[in-house]
Amino acid sequence: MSVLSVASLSKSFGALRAVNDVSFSVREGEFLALIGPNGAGKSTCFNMINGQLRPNAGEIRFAGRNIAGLPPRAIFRLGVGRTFQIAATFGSMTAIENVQTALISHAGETYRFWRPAAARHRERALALLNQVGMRDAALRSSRELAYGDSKRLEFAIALANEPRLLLMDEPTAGMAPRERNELIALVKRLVVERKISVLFTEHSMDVVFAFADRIIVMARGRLIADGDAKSIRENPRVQEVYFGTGKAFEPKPQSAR
Amino acid sequence: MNREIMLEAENLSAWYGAARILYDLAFEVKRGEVVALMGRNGAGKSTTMKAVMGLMARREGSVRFNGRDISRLEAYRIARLGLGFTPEDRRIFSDLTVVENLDVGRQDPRKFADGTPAPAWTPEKLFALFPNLAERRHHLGSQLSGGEQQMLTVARTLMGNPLLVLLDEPSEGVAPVIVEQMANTIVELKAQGLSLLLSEQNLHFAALVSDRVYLLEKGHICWHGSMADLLDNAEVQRSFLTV
Amino acid sequence: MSLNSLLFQALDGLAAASGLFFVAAGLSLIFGVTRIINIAHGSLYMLGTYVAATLANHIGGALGFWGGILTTAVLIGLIGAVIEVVLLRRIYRAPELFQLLATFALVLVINDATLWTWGPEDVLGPRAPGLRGAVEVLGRYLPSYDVFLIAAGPVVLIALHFVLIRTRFGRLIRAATQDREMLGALGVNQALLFTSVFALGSLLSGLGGALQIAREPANLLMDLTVISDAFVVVVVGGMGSIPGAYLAAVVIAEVKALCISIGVVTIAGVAVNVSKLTLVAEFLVMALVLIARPYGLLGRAQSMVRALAEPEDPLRPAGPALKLLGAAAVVALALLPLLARNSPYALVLGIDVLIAVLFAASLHFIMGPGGMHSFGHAAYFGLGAYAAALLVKWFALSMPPALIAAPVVALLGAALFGWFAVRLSGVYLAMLTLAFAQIVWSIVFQWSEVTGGSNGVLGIWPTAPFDNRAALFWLTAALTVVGILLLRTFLFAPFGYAMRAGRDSPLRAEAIGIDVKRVHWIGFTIAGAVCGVAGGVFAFAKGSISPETIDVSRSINGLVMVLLGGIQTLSGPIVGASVFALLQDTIMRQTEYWRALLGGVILLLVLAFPAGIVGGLGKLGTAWRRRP
Repeated sequence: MSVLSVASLSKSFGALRAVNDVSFSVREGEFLALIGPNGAGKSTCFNMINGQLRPNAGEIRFAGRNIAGLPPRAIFRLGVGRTFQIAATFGSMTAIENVQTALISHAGETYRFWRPAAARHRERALALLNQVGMRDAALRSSRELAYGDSKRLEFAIALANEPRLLLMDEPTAGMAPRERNELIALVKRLVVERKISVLFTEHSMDVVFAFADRIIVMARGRLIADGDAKSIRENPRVQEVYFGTGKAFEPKPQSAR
Repeated sequence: MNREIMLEAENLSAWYGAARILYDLAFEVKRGEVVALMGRNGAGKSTTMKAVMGLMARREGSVRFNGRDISRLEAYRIARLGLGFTPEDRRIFSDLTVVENLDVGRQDPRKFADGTPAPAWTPEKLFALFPNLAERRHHLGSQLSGGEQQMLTVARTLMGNPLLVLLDEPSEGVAPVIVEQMANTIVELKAQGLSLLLSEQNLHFAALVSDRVYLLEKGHICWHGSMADLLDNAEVQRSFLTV
Repeated sequence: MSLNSLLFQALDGLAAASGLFFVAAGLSLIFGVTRIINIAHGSLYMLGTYVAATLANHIGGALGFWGGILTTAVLIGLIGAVIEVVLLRRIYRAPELFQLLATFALVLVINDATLWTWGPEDVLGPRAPGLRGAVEVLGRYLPSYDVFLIAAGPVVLIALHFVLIRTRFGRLIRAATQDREMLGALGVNQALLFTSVFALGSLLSGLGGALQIAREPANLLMDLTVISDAFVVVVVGGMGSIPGAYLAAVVIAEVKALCISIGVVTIAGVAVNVSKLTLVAEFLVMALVLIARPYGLLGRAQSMVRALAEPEDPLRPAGPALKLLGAAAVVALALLPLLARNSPYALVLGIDVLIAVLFAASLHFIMGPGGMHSFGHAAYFGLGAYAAALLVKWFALSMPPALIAAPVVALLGAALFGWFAVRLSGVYLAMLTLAFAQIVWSIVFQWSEVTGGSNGVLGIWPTAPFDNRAALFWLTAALTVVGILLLRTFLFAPFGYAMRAGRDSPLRAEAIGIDVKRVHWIGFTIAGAVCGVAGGVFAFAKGSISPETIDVSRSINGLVMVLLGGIQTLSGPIVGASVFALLQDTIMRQTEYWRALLGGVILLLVLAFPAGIVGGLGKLGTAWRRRP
């Protein structure tokens, strides 16, 4: 049973066909990686699903409803959480206020003008921070957080609407290898517990091969492969356009590991 | 082999606003050498590059390039001495065509201190080095793929006929196949006599191209040595690179 | 009205478009490369008109006229270069808000310098030698000079286009528009490039002004009229697009020409003089364009808008100390009329200060937590003031209902303008709000049958029980305190969180379901309404109002107050407005050139604290604590 299904999705910028007739689906509880060379159309595809771009053609069905062309905030309301390539948090707020703002919005309380926001959904916000290991940093200003911690905070924000689907754009970009693995392990654990499906883009092949249930590959706007880690690794077309010979990411034989 | 020192930093420190990022760094790059600055995210690699290039609002210490003190010069003067810089986020001019991008980087040919001419680049030579760009020479920067943009940013720097290139995170955020092309390019540039200082998190990539390594940790140089030594030293790798 | 006369007016519109295009193109070029919105660009145009008219009158003949125009353009270009080197070069790294303030300070200084040099009378130029005649077009006579102007626009457009596309200088300009720092790292001397672009832009503006001497007299109001027209042109045409600037200049000039040619029409039995609606028409054109294309006719979405101010720390609710201080202030306000029984001026000044505080607090509400840097907050002050005054004048309303009407009218105005403003951000928003404020000002100024024009509205006196100074003071104090507490409450409520969220990261805010534009629009409207209260009280406190009381310098004073106190703190605008109002009262009683003096003070502040006053003081504090 698929949570998200994308059918014949297309988007052009002028003469450039950034995404060309792409179809795939994300199954319930699945951790699906979308990979491909830069400029292959991954971000465009992603931004159509999250509502930042309007497709020229095609359907994006989430929970049985076509969400193509809806604004991001409407897609959030339907139960889609999201993290950004460069962690986006509200810099002038504390960590807990960040999460509270999301919870307030989820509860439809944004247009309340009188009672202080600080008292709203406090326990729930603390619980979410606790789950991502950030409870102790609840009262710290979010712009003072280390980069890895910002990513965790962003993940807590993304969970605030109890999403059925999480969209994560390069969740580990700019992180050192150990931090990468810790963050993805945390994400994996929480989404499995909550039966959330995840669609993510990623350049770190270690992360993709270790955690993705399934991998889809885009190149020049089209979907060129779909399968598990092994079949993608051995796919000659993917090797040609994306992996190369693999010497730049496989450990060298003389490496100390 | 006792080659001349192209780039030499001593006591190099830099600040972002009130926050000190670099602490008294000392490193050198010899002629024809490829040196990697490695370390975790936020260790100060990119800041080091910017500090050398004169792009930090506040820096202290001495930086000598090709025998001249460049620590008080503005970025454009440093570039005119033959120090090339390719930033990690590529920063190509997306409203200009490939050819126009190259033209913006154009400088006169130059020579090393001993009188040997440095490789003199023309758009045609660069198109031979990066065949993908040749096909797209009249396309706007914004129409290029990420990998092509990465190529263009290197080509644009080479149009200044540099003696040494600072290459910031060439493998970050690009597809493995592009990473591999970058590695080949670096090897080719080295063969032409250029020196390179690259910042890198990816040990596999750095191992393919570099002669020596400086490890950065919280703005300090905590280890340096040959690439072979680093590959043999699992302890250092674990402590500073979190591989 | 015949088709011929319509076409004839269209030709006249084309002639006007050329001058507008020169200014807008210069503004656009300078912004593209230096990222500075040069508000003083209109002042350079004004200077161009004065200088060229003077040269033409004194030297005389073809040499004085045509040679004078060319000399003027070069001279204004040089003045631009000097401004860039002496002032702007020092503040490129400062927050954009400070850059805008600095160029506005220049407007004040140049305006007073012009007043000092040429006096308050308009300066008329001669007619153009060699082009005194007229050509017969469509059965009417079009001045030859207009034909020349019609041709001048496209000629300059093509020349600029050629420079930008075909020359290395042009390539560097286009590259610098995207990434100046990278250009430096590639060996390009940015300082030189910036100075030359600034000189080129200023030259265009000076040329535009100089060419006007045969069409209109030089006057001291030109600077702000021209800059707000240029802002509209740039917003409509698309920032950074030279062809867009020409297209927009033509569209706007044509719409104005059309209004004038239509003249008086009768709609449903009511005679409407459309030729007086040129500003409204301009606004409508801009509104329509912004709805259809938020980045202008030929503009593109700006990839990145640099933060206008330093990031701020989380807001903390008032602690016991602050609450105590607030309570003490309220008690002091309550007691002041009793203590100041023998010095009536203390109450007059006190009311001025309180009005300034409420004005600044409402501006801070959208500027700080909302991140919307309005350069036209005076519009809502003016709407409130004129609403109250006109209701008293025309409908003989008493004070309480007039004071209730003030925020309602301001709210409606803010809702209308805000709807457009929140679609833009950063400097675009600043330009648009300034243009809106100029439109309100112009309507008040032009619609003299209703508003009294430049004479204003006289005799708005408080009615019982507020017809004595003490009672009026208490009323003002009460409204100010309630207004500030209301704004504070909103900020700590979910709405305030959403507004700050939308400022900190619009993408993230949208991704958690917040309709950022709507939230900011409501915030803008609230601020407008509160500001309208300040305006309403102002009308009664002064007893009379005129367009001068709502002109652009009031908007800028508001900005100075907020920045003076510190944009990052909620108490900042209160302190800043108090200090500023007291200071202004002192200065304005000293000299007639108070604008130049104010401009000088702003320039000094900006140069002394390029990182912002609060940032600067913070650094001083840090250095003090670190002393050995």
